Amino acid sequence: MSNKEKESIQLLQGTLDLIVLRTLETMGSQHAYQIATRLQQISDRLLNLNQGTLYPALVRLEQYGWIKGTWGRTESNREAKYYEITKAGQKALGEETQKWRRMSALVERLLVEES
Amino acid sequence: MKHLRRIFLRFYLLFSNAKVEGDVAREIAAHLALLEDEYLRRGMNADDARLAARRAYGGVEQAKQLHRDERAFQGLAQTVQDVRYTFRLLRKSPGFTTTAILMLALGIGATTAIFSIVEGVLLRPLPFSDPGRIVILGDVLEDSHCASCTHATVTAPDIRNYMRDTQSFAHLGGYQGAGFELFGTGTPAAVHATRMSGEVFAALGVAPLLGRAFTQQEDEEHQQVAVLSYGMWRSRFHGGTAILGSKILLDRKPYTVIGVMPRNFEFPLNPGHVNQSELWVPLSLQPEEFTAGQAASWVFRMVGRLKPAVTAAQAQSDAERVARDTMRSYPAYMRSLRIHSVVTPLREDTVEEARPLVRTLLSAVIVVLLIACANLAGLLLVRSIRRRREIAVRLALGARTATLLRQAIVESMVLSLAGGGIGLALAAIAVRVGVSLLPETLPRVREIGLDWPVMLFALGLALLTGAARIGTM
Repeated sequence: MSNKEKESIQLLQGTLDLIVLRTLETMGSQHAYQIATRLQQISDRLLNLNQGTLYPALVRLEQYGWIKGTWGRTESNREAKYYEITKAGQKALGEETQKWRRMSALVERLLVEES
Repeated sequence: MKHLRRIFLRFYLLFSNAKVEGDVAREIAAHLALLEDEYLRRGMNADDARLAARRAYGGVEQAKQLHRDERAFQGLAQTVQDVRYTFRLLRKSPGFTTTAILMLALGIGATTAIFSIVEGVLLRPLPFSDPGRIVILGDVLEDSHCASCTHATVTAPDIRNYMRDTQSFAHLGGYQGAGFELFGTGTPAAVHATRMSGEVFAALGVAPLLGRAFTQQEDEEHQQVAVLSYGMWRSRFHGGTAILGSKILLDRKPYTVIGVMPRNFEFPLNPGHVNQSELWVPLSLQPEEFTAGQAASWVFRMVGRLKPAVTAAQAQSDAERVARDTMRSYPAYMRSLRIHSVVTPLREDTVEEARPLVRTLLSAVIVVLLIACANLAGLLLVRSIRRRREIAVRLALGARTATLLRQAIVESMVLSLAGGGIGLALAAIAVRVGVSLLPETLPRVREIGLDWPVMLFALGLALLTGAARIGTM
């Protein structure tokens, strides 16, 4: 893949929340840096977002009561705020995933028909 | 549910900002430290690692602002801040603040109070039962350019004809103001009275407080009876029940007092006139009022109550028919006169009479308000000029014009609202005091309250003045 093709993509509105929730569900409690790193890994560096832009999503999710942040220490003995998915968060993730599947299936069908 | 929780939090966090700010700074520092560790591990030197971490993170201040925007209603937070800032500024110049606020308060308060009282006195609801069906019937003379043409009047023969021949009215009667010399109660006095048909009491539908009202029969039999107003009864006869049946002398003729009307009764309604009718006597038209000379003087008025299901327009065409008959029987010297009947609701008739007064008063009130606003504008202008230096410095230091503008608006609003609030309180007190100074006997004077439309207008004008100041910045 050339660099040109690897142009970073823009996140769809609302998808960041879903991604963060999913990451926390599969990986357990994580701090912001870990979440950002994980995002870059799975997106194969396609998602090139500044790590600071993660914070609004974290605030939003925490205010919804879907995730919960607590201060802790990393293996390297640095302090960090660890986020954890809550019960409500797991339930919401299920619903959001359903919504996303339906949405993407719809778009996919449309695109198939067009071609 | 999740939205409720979030909205609450976003309000709450407006007021507990410091703790969250600290927390965010700590989280960002931790994040940067972890990034730096990562770059160090990859073999960068300390300085490069710090820079690379910053690059990967993006702008720290931007991240903080994103966090703020997300966690709380920022527009609100800024306004709260502006209000605080304004209070601090205003406290620093107490002279300006008190002058501006008092000026507004007096302007708004005094004008609203005066307008409320006068309007209340002039435009009270009609004190009769089912007032919507009470109408004024009268003639309008064709081709006459008299000033009183809006004021439909009738002649003595008209009263007789209309009362006899119309079918649209449940009750219909004529009346005329009259002055009498009253004897029999201490010193003689001139009193304002009204001659009226017995039917008028029935048309108005108000029961006397004491005794009874006179009937149409008594009117036609030329009985000399009188019904007193509440004010007259209290002031001249000390409110005793012994008054019923006693004799009073009106223009040296004996009249028997047969009733007293309740306090809120007033007829005819003369908005803007102090001389309310103090007693009522039968119209008892005299023979000479039907003879040449007086038969052509439109000096009476007629009031009636429409029959159920009859509209004013129907009544008017009914009356028109009678008017044509009347014209046909005109004596030779009146042949050139052409009349039209008009039927107008009593409410309209009364309001029509009061309208020029209310309009004059309203313009006076507006002028006083404008003067107050002009004064305020002057004060604000001087203040803006004094602060030019401060504003220049703040602009130079990077303050956004929008921010400065917003602060100026908030400052004006605070002044206007404070002035308006105090003005409202003043007006409420002034209306109380003003009403208590009005004569007790003035009907329904206790029901006068603040006139809200004028109050809101005054407040709006004050806010506008404040806003106009923005233009001077």
